[in-house]
Amino acid sequence: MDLQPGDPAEEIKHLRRCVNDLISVLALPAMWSGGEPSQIVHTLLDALLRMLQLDLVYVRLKETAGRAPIEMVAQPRQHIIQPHEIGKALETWMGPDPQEWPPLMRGRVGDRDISIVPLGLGLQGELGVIVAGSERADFPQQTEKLILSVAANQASIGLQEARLRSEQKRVASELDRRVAQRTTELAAANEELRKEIANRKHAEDHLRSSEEEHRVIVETANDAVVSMDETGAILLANPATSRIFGYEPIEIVGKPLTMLMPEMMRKLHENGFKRYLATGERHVNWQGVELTAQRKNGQEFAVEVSFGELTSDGHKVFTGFIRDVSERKRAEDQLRASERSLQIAQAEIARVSRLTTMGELAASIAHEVNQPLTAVINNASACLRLLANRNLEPEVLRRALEGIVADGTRASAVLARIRAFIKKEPADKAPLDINEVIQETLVLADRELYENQVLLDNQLATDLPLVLADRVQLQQVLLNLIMNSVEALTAVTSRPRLLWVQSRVDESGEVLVAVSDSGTGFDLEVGHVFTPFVTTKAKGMGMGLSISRSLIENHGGRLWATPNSPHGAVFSFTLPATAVNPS
Amino acid sequence: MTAAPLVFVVDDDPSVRSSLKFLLSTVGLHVESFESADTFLRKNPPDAPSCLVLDVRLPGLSGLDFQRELAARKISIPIVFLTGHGDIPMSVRAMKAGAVEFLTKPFRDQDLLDAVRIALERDRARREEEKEVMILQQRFDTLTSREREVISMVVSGMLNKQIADQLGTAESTVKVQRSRALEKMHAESLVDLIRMIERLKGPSGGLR
Repeated sequence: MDLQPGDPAEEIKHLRRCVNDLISVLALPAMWSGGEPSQIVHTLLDALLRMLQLDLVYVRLKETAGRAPIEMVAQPRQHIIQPHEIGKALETWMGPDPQEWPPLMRGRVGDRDISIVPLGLGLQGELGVIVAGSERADFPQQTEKLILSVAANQASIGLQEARLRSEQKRVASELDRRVAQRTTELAAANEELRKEIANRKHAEDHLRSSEEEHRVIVETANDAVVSMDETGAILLANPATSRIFGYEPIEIVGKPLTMLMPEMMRKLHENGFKRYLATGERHVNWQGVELTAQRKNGQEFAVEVSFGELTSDGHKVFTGFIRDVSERKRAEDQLRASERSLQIAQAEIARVSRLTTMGELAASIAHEVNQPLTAVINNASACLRLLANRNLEPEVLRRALEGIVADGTRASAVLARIRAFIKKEPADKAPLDINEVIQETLVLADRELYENQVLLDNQLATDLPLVLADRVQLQQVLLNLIMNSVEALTAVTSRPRLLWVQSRVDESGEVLVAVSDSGTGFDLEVGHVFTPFVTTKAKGMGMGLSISRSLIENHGGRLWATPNSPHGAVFSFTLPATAVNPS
Repeated sequence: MTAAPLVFVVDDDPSVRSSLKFLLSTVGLHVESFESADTFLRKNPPDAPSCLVLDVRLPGLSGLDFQRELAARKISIPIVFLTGHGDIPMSVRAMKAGAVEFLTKPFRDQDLLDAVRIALERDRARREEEKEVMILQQRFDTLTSREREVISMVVSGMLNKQIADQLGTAESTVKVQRSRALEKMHAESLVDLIRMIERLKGPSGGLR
């Protein structure tokens, strides 16, 4: 549609149409304003196809700012060729780089010859290319070129804007994202901080309330709570201390803690405390140890004590929690006493029944032995009488002597039978844990220890091998040794009454038990203590140690005595270990 | 005094039995031994002073039960107990029931021989007593019932006159009956008669 000179009316009409087209093209940005590149291209293609009655409009946008390249084509309905096919055909004709394509090209697409005008998008075609194609031979006319280039410019501007916009959008969204992320981080940090604050507040509250609680607990506790410093002086005492011990706080604060103990224990405590400060070695268990305390009125009573240690400003503070267990102890004692009297009664029954058996045995022995003895004596007496009368005939004498020999032999056979019978009575031996037996025996002796103010120190080795023994006999031996010690200790008033019960494995692999005391020791030579019927006791029979030794020897062990240093006695016995492993 | 004294030994132990027999024979005593109480009881009581040497501990009937059994059968033979292990209550019981002695085995020969001698003497005296009472009883049996009435009244201390009043007879009749009774009883005096009647009333007598 080139301008035909000579027909002004036609020319005017043509120009008017051109102007309309231009106006339409210039209006295009209003249509795609704010749109995406694909929208812009789409709108552009449609508009150009319609305005210029083209047969093909193709656009290729290069990849920009993370956007995929776009290829798009607009054609009249009857032609359907895929954009990438067109793109490929164009490259085949004109080379791979659209920026180097010629301004006009004529070629064949499908079965048609087409004139093609490529136009760069952007200042140097950096955005992409738009290709307009028409089968018309006169394509492109001047006006068409103009419209195409204006449209391309408009599209370029639109695309550039879109690109900027998208870039802005990207930046904005990145910014948003970063802001959001930062916001999230801040929110999290805030939350953390809030929690921290809440925790601290809670901890403070808790601390405040637990301090208060502790104070209230200490103030209202039934147990005496007494603190002392490194010198052993009382720092503070709670109200229960007054109630239990009878002292007002003012009477005891600043005084030595030992004033709450019986005389006998004071030295022991001081030594133990000194040793602890020097070596860290505790002379008593710090948790729930049972001790004897003394009230203001001098009355001694049982307490259960736990100790705590605190270092404050480089100084050690010790707090004792002292529970008056005298009532409980009394109840326990009563229970134990009744158990013990039951046991004593049982033992008595056993003893009596044994005595009865012994009595019957003795009677039986007497009868069995007396019969032949009687016959022997009768025969011999008769012979003597006949001899005195000079009337003893040899035959008579011979028969009498035969009878005497027979009866003497019979008597000795009876004795042998009895000895065999006595030997046969077996001890009831079973594998035993000696520590268990010791504990059981100490329970029996507990009241005696408490009543006689004997302090017990158990030193029982763990993992001892079992021993094959009669439980009751071992208990008898242990009880005998412990009671001997208690008796030796009751005479002691000038020093603590201490009893040690130890168990361990000795050098030869046997189980060794030692009962030691700080008592009066031996008046006798050590060797004599086991002699039957020899005793230092007012009420004793002198049989206990002798019997104990027999019992231990029956178990294949040994029982011996040594003096304790500086005071008292040590009785030790060993028992062979069994092959049976403790389970 | 018809036969020699006899000692019965009851002991379950053969050595003891034979040794006792031997010992007792050295003083001239006759001994019969038994291994149990039952075998002894099956034997008829002898007509001679005798005693029993008895072990307390016997199979079957024990010595003390045996003593009771003999008493129940009115066999009054003195017993010397022997025991292997005599306890006091047992010996007290035995002695209360009339045992002569309670010896613990083994004993001194002299103690046994003394005990046996005492036992035999006691039995001999008892037999003597029984014999005299029997003679008196025989004499007493010859009295008429009126003579017995009169004697019992005399013994109770009544005078002839009082007796005559009570019986409703003459005093002279009482006198005759009384002198006839003394004569029949071989009594030398009234005191003698009283003693005789007392013996007849005694443990082995027929008047009770």
